[in-house]
Amino acid sequence: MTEQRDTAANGLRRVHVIVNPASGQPGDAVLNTLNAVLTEEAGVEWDVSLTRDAGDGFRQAKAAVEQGVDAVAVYGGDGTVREVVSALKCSDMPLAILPGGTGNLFAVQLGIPKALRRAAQLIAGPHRIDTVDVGLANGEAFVVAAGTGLIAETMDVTDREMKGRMGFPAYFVGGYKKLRELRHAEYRLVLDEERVEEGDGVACLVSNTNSTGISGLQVPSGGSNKDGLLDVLFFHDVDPPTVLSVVGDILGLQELTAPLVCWPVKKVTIEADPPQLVTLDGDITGETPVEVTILPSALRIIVPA
Amino acid sequence: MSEQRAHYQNVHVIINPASGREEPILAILNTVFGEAGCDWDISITRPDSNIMQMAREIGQSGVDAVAVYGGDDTITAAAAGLMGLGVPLAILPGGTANILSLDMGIPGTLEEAAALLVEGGTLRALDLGRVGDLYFSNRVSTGLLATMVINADRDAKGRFGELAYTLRGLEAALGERENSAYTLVVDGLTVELEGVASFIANTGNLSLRGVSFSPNVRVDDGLLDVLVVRRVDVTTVVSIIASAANLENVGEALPHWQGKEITVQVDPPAPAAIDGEPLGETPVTAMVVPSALNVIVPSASEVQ
Repeated sequence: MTEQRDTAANGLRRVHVIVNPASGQPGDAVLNTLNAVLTEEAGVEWDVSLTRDAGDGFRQAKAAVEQGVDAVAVYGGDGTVREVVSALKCSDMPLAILPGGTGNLFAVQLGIPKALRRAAQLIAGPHRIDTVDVGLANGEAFVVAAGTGLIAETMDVTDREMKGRMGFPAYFVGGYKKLRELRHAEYRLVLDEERVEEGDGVACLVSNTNSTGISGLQVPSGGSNKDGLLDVLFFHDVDPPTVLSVVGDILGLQELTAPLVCWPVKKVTIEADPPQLVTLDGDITGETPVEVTILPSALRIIVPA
Repeated sequence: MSEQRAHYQNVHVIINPASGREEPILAILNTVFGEAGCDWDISITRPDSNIMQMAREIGQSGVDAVAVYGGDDTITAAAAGLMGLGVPLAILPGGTANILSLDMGIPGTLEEAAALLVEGGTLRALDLGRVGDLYFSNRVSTGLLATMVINADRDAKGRFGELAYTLRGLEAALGERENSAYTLVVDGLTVELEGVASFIANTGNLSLRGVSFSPNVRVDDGLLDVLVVRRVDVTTVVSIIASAANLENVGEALPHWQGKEITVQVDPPAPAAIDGEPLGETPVTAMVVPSALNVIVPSASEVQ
């Protein structure tokens, strides 16, 4: 067991908070709340840096590790969280998530409160530090899932504002719109460098958790972010009615009936012809081919006691 | 929405997160600055921060303007740090009693105040007062006023306006107290009179928009004003305050002088306060730092 229970005061005296000011709940008085909870209630010393461009979250988290704070907190969307995770993986530095963006799937899964004040109180008050696996896709970290094809394209067409208003399932309204022009590709998956799977498909999803990031769609094998394994779900090429059923499931309209294959692996390489978009935790990061591996127990994270 | 290029392209914002207002500071700044393509960053003050030094270092880092979100204490300390650097100060009112921002006609909401950095506004000189190595933007109080200021309840200050509150409280605190012997030295000229309190003012605002206790007290006149409150004045002053329409007459009702260097001596020695913080006992000598720095304020055409 890699979990550890901290003392009541948790020994967290200095926290660096990375904030994406362009994300979050419009009404969140982030600085006031952190001051009230960290400074006034708990006497925790904290500082803030703001992310502006891609890579800022990574650099700021690395700098905080060098400074020697007791924890790094992040307030932002899944993309910002992913950058900070990328910087903190394989270090001893605990991560605190202050859910502020759309999705925030990871935080929800870990039972981290959605309300900013309560999430901040988790840093200042009783908590425990959990250790979880981190996925790597072409070297980039993710915590929930990597996806290709239909899954990535839905991310691409769903406008950010809609995401903000409606939350994660809104991604798939975009997917529904995309159906008419649905493109499939010839996939070649190499599982754990041994087994090769080939076939026409519309999407591939590599989950590090028991979630696929898709509302209502659980990983059939019941995956976990502590098992040292990735779960590869392959969506075969399907006739339009079947795709509709996938989307129907995604939208919570009906039970999943699409043909779905799931393999637990430590490594998978995904090639597609033509090349397919790749998404990591909701961010479009590139195209196939992509090599996905797992870093077992690579991230320490502050969760409810 | 039309794209507007920010007048100040590179802005650093010093934020006191304990300033007393609860609002989404970062989201608001991101909207105002982000739409104008303004490059901005922030620093947070802590209870033990040396804000003057923080502002000085930021002012020397090559930014176009330093903005400060907080109450008058935070803003004054940052203003002192920016003295002589040629980098303008933007005041983002964040406290409960932003006397300085009212005096300078700065909008009361964060959105509007931050938008001044985008629009450019105009620059206005700000004098600071100095007692030893401590700076003040509003006033140094002595006697009963110092006691009142130091003990003032923050919420009441915000509701009634600091000075109005203080003078109301003064009446209650006055009791049977007798006048003390006040000796003022104003640029070498000695004045002796009796009083229960005094203040050396850089600004004259009563925390009510557009209302000053004296039209003679200006933040950029290169002078400090000293006013003495006599026992007999207290009733007069309070009654003037009660009839809110004539607030500007408060200053006229009190004996006052102007100068660059003012010493207040009291027999017996009386407590003193500098912008709300304790300052030991009299005597106290305050000097003006004329045009210590420039503040970004609304252009004349924008002032209502």
